[in-house]
Amino acid sequence: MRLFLISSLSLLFMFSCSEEVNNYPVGTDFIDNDINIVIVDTFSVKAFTFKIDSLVTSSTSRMLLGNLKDEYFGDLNAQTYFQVNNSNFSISSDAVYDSIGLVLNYDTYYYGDTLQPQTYKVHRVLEYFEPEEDVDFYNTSKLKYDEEALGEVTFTPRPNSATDSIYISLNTVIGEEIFNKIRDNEINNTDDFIRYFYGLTVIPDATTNSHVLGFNFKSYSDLNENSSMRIFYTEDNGDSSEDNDQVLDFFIPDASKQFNAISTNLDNTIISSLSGTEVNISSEDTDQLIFAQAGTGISARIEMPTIKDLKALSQESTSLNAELTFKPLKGSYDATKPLKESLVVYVVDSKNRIVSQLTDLDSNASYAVLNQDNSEFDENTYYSIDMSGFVELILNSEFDLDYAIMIQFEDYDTVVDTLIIDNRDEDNDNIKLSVTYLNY
Amino acid sequence: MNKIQTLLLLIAVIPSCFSQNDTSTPYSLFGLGVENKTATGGLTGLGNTGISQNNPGEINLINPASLGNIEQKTFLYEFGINGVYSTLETSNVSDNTYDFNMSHAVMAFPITKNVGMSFGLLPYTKVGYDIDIENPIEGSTDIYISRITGSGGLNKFYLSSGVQVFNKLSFGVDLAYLFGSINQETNLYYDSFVNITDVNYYHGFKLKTGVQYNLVKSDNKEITLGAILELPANLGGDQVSDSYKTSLGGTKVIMDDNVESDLEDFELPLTLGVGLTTKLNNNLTTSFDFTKLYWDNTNQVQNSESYNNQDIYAFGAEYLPSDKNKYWSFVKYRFGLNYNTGFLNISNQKIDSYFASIGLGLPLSNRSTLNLSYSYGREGSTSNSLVQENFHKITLNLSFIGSWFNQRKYD
Repeated sequence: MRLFLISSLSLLFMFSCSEEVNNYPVGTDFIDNDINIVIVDTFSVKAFTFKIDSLVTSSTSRMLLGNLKDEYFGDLNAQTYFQVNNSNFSISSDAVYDSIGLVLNYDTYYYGDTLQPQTYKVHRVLEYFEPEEDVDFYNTSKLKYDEEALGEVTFTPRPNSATDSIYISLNTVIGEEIFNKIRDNEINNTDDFIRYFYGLTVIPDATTNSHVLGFNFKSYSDLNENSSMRIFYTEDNGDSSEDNDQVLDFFIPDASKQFNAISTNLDNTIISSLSGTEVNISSEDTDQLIFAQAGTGISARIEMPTIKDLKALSQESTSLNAELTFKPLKGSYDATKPLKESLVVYVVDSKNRIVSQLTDLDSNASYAVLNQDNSEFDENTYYSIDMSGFVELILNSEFDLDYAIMIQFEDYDTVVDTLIIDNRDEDNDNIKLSVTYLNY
Repeated sequence: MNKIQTLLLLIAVIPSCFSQNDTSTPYSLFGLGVENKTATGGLTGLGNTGISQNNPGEINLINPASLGNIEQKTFLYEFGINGVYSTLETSNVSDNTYDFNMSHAVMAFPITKNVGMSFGLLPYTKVGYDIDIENPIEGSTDIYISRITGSGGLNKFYLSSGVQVFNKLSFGVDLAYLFGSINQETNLYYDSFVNITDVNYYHGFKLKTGVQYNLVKSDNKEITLGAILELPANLGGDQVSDSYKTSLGGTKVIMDDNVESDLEDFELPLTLGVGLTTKLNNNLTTSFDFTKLYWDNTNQVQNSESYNNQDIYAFGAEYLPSDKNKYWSFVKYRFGLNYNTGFLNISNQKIDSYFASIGLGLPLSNRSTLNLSYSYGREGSTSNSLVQENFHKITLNLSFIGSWFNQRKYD
């Protein structure tokens, strides 16, 4: 009997299961389903332009040089400062000085019309090469320099070749002075040199609308693909069959000893009030356009104040997806000013302080991604941003967050690209936020 | 073996068996699910009649008054399992499903002369459905599909007692505790994967009384009348909701974590039943039952469905051959019919059901019986885009008669 009981129990265990429940299309009509998904794209979007006070431009490893004049962005002038130094201070006493010059090596970055000629002037820096405070130089930083140029060059660039460079002859008197001090052992080491020669600045001509170019440099002596100040001399080593020409290479000793001063003059533009005290300029005051410019810190700000109203729709609800789309102003981009494939997006607070980089639900950085339409009419070129992380942040916060997003160029400390975002209602070109929302 | 230990083991084991049960009928979406309609002993073979039956060697859960008739110095226990093969069809699709379940584990024993007691555990309702719904997305031309899966069900633990007041009249009381959970899980995918799980816990007591009266009792003729009254009962409910979403990249975000809320009570209706069993001669016994459930008087919120009064008509006939020399002469042959109007009304269509059954009562020894039955039936209708279920059901009930008061010398 006991055996029977136990075996019948085990039998029950085995029996008490059924085949995997099939899925029937039947029953759809009578299920009470209070779950619905809504796509909401009627959010109020407010667009602004603001300017970041200053950007760190030292330690970028790129010299930016050039001048631009633009209807929307005014005048931009990129000037570069750098220290030069050497590790070798031995010149034999019978060496003979020849000349001095500055080599600037293209790194292939350019922005603007590179068919235009441009003039660079080189000046000697007249104060010790260090920032006013902290350790960084900013786009607004300045160092005193000698008004009198050591040399200048006027040229039409060939920026696509990284093996090409510009040569600027410098004042031969200063070259000879440096040469003699080293040869005569008045300068014996790097400290001696930088106390005597603070550095150089290169200033492009501010009267032309031409281009901004990027130049690279190495923090060691290298005569190939490097930007450096070079002294040329000859040394008779008693063997006439060998080349007697010598070069003393003054390179930039560290990326932190170089910075770009990028100044902008917004007079007579629609965003001229950015130079004043106004923090955010509404797109309503700027022809329904907002602006972003790398290098100068002009940034687009987009507020979506009604996202939090979703919470009022239903207690039990969640967002499944969110996307912000915007169109670059037609005609503001072309082959010489191409659109970037992606732009960086930051979450900023009401005072434009960066809270964090925008992320998606998986905590990956979320960028504005270009969807380019190559058709003739270019009707469908737009950027889209995965805003799911932002919507989640706003909806899940216990606080009433006044967060907005800021759009900038990814490498905004090393380029001067520009972006104009169209927020005009006509033709449905305005900035749109679309949220897929689940109520349950 | 100590029988108390056996009981404890059963009580411990059976709920875990029940939890594996599964049915596959969309109608289990409504109310508390689909009722366990398997009866004890040979009653399923008799069309689920039983209000006026009081076979001393069988446990009858339909009317507790029958316990007053239990044999002295015995101990009855019984297990039931069943298998259902059904075809679900709508006007344009059909699908087959099969399902095995345990139907009951019950015991009964006399306390004193003319007083019997019974207790046991059995599934009360079962829920099992899996429905895909296409939904439009507001503000878009897109659609999404959500899959809604129901599972779970309620169990019943009961304690009943019957007393034979005098030779012809018995009374019985049955107190049942209903408990369990009904789960509804919704899965959908649109940009993110979403899972919403609601677990609805219900529990409450239900009281049933019964009476049986022997109108005629002679050697070869018996007429018994029976009646049952089940009081309305409220089952209190609590809901625990969990939900989460998972992004494309696999990040899981909890939306609701064990959010508890009160559910509206589920009301079980007043139930009245009457029955008549007639033993026409030594060979043939027939039974008629009529049961009415007053759902109209319950007051609960429904959605697309409504609850209506439910009538159940049952007929059963049992034949026992008189020749006592062959094994097959000790076998009881049964036939039954049952019509149930159902309580659900969906799209102005009553979800009614009927079945016809045949059964055998096979004595395995003088201490145990195997009751087999086969029923064929139908529930619902394909009209009004509803579902019709045609089912074949086999039930297998094993009952034992033990000797409660005869102690063994060695254990």
